[in-house]
Amino acid sequence: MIDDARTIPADSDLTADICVIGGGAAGIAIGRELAGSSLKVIILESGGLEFETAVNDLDKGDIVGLPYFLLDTARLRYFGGSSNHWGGVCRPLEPIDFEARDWIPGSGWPITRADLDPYYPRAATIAGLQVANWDLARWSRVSRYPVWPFAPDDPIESVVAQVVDSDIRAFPKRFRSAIEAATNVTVQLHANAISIDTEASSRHVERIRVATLEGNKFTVTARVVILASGGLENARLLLASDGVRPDGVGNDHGLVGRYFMEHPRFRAGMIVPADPRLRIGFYDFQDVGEAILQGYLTLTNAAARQERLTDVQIRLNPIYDPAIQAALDAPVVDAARDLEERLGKVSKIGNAIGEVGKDLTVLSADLMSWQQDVIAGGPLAVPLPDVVDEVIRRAGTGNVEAAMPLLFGDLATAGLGQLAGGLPLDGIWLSTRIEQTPNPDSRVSLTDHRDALGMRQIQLDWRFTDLEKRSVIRTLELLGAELGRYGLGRLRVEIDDDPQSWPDDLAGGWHHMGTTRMHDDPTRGVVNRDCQVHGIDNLYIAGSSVFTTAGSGTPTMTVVALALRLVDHLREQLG
Amino acid sequence: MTGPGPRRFSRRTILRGGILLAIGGAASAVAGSVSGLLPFGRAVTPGARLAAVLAHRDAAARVGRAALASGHVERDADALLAGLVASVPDLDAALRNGSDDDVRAALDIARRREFAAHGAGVIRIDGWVVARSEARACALIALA
Repeated sequence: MIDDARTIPADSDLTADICVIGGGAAGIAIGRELAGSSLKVIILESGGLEFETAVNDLDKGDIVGLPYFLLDTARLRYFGGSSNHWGGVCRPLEPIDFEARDWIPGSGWPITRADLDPYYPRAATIAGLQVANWDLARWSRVSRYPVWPFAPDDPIESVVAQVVDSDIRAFPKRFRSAIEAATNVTVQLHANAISIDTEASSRHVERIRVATLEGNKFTVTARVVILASGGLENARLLLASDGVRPDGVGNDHGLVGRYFMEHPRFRAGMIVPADPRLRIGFYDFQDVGEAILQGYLTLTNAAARQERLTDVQIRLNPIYDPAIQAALDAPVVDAARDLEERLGKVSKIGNAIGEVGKDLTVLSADLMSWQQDVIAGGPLAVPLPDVVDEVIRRAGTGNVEAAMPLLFGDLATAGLGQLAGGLPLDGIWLSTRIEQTPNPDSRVSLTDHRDALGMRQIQLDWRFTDLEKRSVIRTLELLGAELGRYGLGRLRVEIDDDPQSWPDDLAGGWHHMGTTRMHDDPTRGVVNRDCQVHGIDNLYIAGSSVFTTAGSGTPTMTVVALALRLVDHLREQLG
Repeated sequence: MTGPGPRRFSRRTILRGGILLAIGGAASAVAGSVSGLLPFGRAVTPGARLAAVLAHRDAAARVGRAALASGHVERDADALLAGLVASVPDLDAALRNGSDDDVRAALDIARRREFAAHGAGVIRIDGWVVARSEARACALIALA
């Protein structure tokens, strides 16, 4: 069911077996799992079904330390949470990400990748993927683009992530109806948890105090409370719940809000390919029918151990000759891309039609020199819409060959050549995404400024250690050496060595992690291996705030996997 | 290693000077060939010999000047040659008695070995990741 808290009479007390604070990816995954069970579940969602400025303003806060996104733009407060602007990239954390690595202070989860392996396939399905597989060999066989030829004992390797189709990324698009139909699960919209009230011993949550922007306040009493509001708000609510202990709930050791991690990203270098026709299509988004893939380069586990580095992703971005780029930027090329997209969508209907795309790729490669002449000589011609329609029509009848001449007379192949990674490259610029080192000084704390509900706002102090910069530079050096060794090209490191200086384009990935980190030792973590807040028998946390370390990959699927694992644990606990 | 510092040469330079220097062989359009195999100390210096063997010698010289300025390679021709010969097997013989292809092959083998080792043989010149042997060779060309 989906209800609206603005209609709940003031001073009511709602009861449930489980109260989930937050209706984002984790909260929805939990609600979906428990739908139809004997457990009564209430999900408190701050926003409504759509974006509302007044609600999202509750996310405002201050930035100190390294520059970061405005906090009210870094998250979304409505049903679905930040899944509503999710980039859709999925890959499980690596086994090494869970390990204690003596060169990374604070590393070492109390669980291993094997503990999440049973949950990742379901998490992949919930995330919106058709195939829970990230094996490079498997995907390279169905890709039309080559994988760069690194050997198994090289320090750099190619890996592949999957990307959820943008049409289904937002969790409510797929799960709203299931939640609405569930009689035991109620989403309360516009319900803002403003305090977690514990007993005087602070060892048990008595109730959640809830407020709406319209003014009515009520409470929720539940056997179990799951905090699932994201990596910033989870810490905020714990810190703000200072009715019994001045430092907040679960903060006996001053860890709540500390160890804030992101996935820092910026341009760090460039490659000049030895052959301008070096193909990088595998490292761009590519639709292979059953999945959308994106490859990237990264350190091997062996190299990370040997070099004592954090993980660094390297993504490849083409730099074309200005004349080519100008042509590609022209609207006519958009039309060519539209053609490819239309063929791609058609290909989902039948394999025979899908072959059209492959044929066009081969043709475009064969016509490369011709394209170069065309591009050098002036703007590209328009791929006429009626030609496109004719190609699709003939391809649909299996008469693919008959369709090809139409394209010879058309210049759509130029756009397809670019899509195939076939246009000559002037260079490749390298964007990096880094596994941030856990750092207790990188933290979320509260200011004295208050939001419209009277809650203290956040101050984010984002900080790195020296290891992040060194990891990026050394990873690029290793890649540069490999490129030189194989004769693929040369690499220039574009950032300086000063561990305290960062490029102007430094940004994060809107990934907020580590602020209620997982550790079996209460002096080193906020939650234990079951995601239970240390010392509080009925308070659990879901979401990336429990990440002990962050890896370099995107967190959403791991967030869901952890949520599913938590549900299994609670089923055992609650019966 | 040091940071990139101000850019001193373009990516075209590294493409033509660095890459083609290292790739060598038939893929490199050799701008000129050595007409005679004269011993060093007479008409042809090692730098001049290298310059004659390699394509895009002007670009290589620019890389060489940056390498000299970086401090990652020796600063005078004798020391550069000594370092180069010590680190590149067969180069001495190739420079004295070998063909242009022999010189390029010796440098190519050394470059690949240095890159594969990922150690002190890999340096950054103006940000570019290069093998120390090719940086030395470029520096010799710059001093020729």
